[in-house]
Amino acid sequence: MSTARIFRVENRLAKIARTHGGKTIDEAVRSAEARVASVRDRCVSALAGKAEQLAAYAKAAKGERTGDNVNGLYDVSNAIFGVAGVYGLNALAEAACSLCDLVDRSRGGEEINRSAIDVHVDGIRLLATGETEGAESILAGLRRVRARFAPPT
Amino acid sequence: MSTLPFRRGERVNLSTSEVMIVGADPDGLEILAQMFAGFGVHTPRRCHDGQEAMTIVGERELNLIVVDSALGDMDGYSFISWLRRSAIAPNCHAPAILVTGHTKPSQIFKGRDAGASFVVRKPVPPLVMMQRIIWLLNDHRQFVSSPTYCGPDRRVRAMGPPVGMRGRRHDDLSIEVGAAKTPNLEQDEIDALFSPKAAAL
Repeated sequence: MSTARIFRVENRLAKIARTHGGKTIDEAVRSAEARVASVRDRCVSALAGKAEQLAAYAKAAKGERTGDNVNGLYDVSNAIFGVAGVYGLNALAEAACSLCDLVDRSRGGEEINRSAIDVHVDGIRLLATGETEGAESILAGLRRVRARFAPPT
Repeated sequence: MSTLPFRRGERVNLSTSEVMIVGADPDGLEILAQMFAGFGVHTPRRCHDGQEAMTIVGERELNLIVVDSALGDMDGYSFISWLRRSAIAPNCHAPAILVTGHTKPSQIFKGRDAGASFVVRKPVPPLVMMQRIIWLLNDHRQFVSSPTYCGPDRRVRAMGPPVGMRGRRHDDLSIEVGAAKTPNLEQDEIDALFSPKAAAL
């Protein structure tokens, strides 16, 4: 049996948070929502650039399962998912999340069709430029590709 | 929401707390920094990669660490694992929230086993982040340091040691149940323990 040390630690965050003053939770959440909304334009306009970064990683990573380019592909799609999700760009968020999953499965040794990744990158590039009219059909296409080449495990 | 240990009218004072936010994506970092500023944190400290964050851990006393799973030079799991084993007190015991977009079960277990206090799925709206902070304020879990794991106790429920084992804690209970030492509760006393209480938010 291994030796484990189990001990109490002071919850310093709780100690500070319970000092006099501060905001009500309602005020804090509303203020945070307003501040997050205030940087919306800046963050959303950067999405197209991120999509281009994604395309560059995908091009450089051709045939690779691991390495910096593949990790870059994962990290950038993870970043797109985070920003798109916060600002309600649901189609883009879903496409980016799907790409994260494909890349991660490929990194894990699963046989993933390269075209499935390329089609996702193309879809994300379109959605990141603000394409909203065709968003549903782009997503439907990506879902078909997923179902055909990489069904959810 | 109704089971959360807080009411929206409760006050929380994070103005003097030291919060470090780590992530490779500048926009993701900006969103989190704005969120924490809205919560009242005076100056959320931003780090763009794991190396910068490691330096800050060595220089400042932190009260909360929020880490993205993607840090550029390393991943968030490795950073939290390093933090827990760094022996840089008190930061190595600070609450650490791991934020990730990709949440398949293996990823969640990886975050938990790295020593994260919480794994939060993106996108993270301010209400969800605040819920996690409130949970952390009420977190009484002990800390575990062993050759294979270092971080908050992963056993959220006290189920006792595995059958046939003595357990490693001084307060682990034996599977043997002894004779009662106090009188049995009356039915109305039992009922009182189960009476539902409204939780207004």
